[in-house]
Amino acid sequence: MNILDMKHIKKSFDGKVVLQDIDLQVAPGEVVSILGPSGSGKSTLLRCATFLETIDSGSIAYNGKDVVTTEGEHAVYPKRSEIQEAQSNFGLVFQNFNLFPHYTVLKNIYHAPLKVQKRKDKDEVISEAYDLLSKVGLYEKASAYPCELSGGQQQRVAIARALALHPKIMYFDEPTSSLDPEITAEVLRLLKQLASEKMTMVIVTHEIDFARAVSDRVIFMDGGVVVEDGKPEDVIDHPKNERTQNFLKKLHV
Amino acid sequence: MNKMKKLAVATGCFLLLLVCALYGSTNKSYAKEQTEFIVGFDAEFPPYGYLDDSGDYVGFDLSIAEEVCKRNDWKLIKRPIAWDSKDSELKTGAISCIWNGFTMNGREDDYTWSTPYLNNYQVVIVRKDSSIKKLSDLKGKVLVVQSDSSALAALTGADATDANRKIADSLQELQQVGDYNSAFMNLESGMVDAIAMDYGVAVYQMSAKSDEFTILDESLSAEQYGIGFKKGNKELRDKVQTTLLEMLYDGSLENIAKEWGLSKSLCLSMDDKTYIDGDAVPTIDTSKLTKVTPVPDKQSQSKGTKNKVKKLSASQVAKQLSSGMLATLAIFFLTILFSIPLGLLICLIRMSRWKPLQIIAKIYISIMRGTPLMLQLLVVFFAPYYAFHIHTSYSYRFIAVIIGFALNYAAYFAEIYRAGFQGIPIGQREAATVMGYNRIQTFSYILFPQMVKRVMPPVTNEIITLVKDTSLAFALAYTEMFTLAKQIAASQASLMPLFIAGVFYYVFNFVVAYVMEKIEDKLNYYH
Repeated sequence: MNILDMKHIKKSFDGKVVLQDIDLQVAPGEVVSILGPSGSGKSTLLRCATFLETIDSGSIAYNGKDVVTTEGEHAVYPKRSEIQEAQSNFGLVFQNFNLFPHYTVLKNIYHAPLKVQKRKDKDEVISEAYDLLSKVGLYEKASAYPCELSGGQQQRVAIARALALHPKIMYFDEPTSSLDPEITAEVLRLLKQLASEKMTMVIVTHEIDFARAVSDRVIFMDGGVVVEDGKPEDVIDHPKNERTQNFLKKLHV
Repeated sequence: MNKMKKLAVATGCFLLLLVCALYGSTNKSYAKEQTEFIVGFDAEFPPYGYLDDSGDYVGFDLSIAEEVCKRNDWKLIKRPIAWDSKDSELKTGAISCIWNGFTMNGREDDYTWSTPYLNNYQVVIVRKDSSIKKLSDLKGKVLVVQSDSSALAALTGADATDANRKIADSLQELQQVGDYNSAFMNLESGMVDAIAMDYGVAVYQMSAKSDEFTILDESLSAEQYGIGFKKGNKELRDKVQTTLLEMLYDGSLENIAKEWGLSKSLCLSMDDKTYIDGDAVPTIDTSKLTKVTPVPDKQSQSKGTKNKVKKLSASQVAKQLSSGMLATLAIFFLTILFSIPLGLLICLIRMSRWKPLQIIAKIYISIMRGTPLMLQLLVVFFAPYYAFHIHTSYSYRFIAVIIGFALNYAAYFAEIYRAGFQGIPIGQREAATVMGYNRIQTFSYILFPQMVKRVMPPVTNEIITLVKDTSLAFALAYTEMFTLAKQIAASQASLMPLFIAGVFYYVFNFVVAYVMEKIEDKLNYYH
């Protein structure tokens, strides 16, 4: 059973079609990278999967359970509570981190488990938060505020924050695009570690080498459609489609 | 939906509070035992009504009113009013009469009048060494009058005599100033050559200026003072008139006039058999009246013992101002207390997803920001009467000030908060949503704390403005510090009380700015 099952997703902004009839399935433990030029719709696809955007038509299911369906022409969304239940399946890491600036690093991590998931054992939640900080290598920054961290450190905290909610699937929306190249490496290293731990992940990225190394599957999107979908060595090294070839060629110049 | 309910409950609570306050303040008026006689007067008009050196309201007119009340077993309440809203005060029953060197001429049909009791002259004051000895010498000179005064009307008004018009035309310039203090400062410094003003006021003002000035023997015009009652309130008018005539008969009115140096101006007469509206004046029964001993008419008393300024030191002025400071502080803190949360409520309504609510909040904000605060205060104060015919008591005056200020400032705070919320990056909301925070949690844990930090600088601005705006409470004759300072300035014939008030505002704002800075520092643990 797939963790995520998106079928026939259509989405347009003010009449401009952004996604046209896209399917995306992710199996447990799978690492999927989405490549494509700017404006190809890859970020929008993630935002639809995480309910930050609504789709026009199509269906979205988590763990085999339909969340969004389509009746007639239009997508039908359930009550907020059901959306929230579906949201507990995934974590999302943003390009701009979006840490809560008024909370310490530690509180950023333990606040949602305590207040949203309403976990009762505060000590356990906090010790888990410390464990996550160790895992992302920022144990000593527990009491710092986000503004005191570098971009790479902030992104690692953001990843720890998402992991604290025990998601079944993690989405990464261009997680290294706003980082300096030398800092990018520390975030990618962490993602590789997560992949090796069999975390299910969907990563929108421009890091071709990283995508080749870490992904089970690579999807190339352009103009709101999936152009290629396959093993990384096929899509990246031997692309069949002309658009994919052009895109990759530009990246390598 | 939960948030909506909370909003509704909060709004309900606030309205309930308002209603309770209104009810409480109207209710008290039924608890009176003695009949109240409320004299409305302008407390910046010595010697007719002003604040004396011990902080009490006194004056020639108030002295007579005191005696009238004593004889009728009424309880005298001296109520300073804002001169501009005297008619509303009378109509709503907040005052029983206007008794305050109140010129009848030109207002004959606007009130139910007593017969005239005092002659007033518009006189001209010049420096002692001036070449101006008679009215015709004013040709080519600069004359100053108080704006909207009887003196101005006598020179250029519709009823001005030809002789006065000729004088006005012959002047180099006819200047207008807001108060007598500035008029005298102008005269003293030689910027103007003469002042035209009421005789009684002139005597009072000049008592503070030693012997620098003199009054010309010729006067511009004569007019008469009466007591103005609400149109149609003939019963009360007749009672007061009867008592006045009795006081005239037994000599006590003459005695009061002597004390104030106004005995030559007294014009109340037994021979006036009809009022100006044509009704018959009641006749008095003189059989039971006994004449009082006249006050000796010594040489020194020709100007009266009371009609002069009693000078206060700066510290005495500050002490008198202190009661006004308390009122100012009360307005300030209560406005903050109510407007800050109310502003948040309005902000939330303004940002609600439901269009009609949004529009209501938009209209509210637009009215509150688009009309003068002073006007809003008047509306809040007078609306219960004009809209619902509720007679409010004196304590409502303060409540109206607070309601007016809170409603107005809430509108500004609402917009400041909204800007604060909108400045928060959308990613904050998105991160919270994805992590499962519901709308209330997102608001209270993520957005609200960040908004508070963002709005501190504009809120500080607004609060500092509020400190100075408290002086607008004068519109409802609520004697906060600035109103009091103006009254003391009038009674002292000096601008010094205003400067002392200025120092207080500065110190107050200095403290406010310091406290706000500390709060900002405290919130600066992140950026």
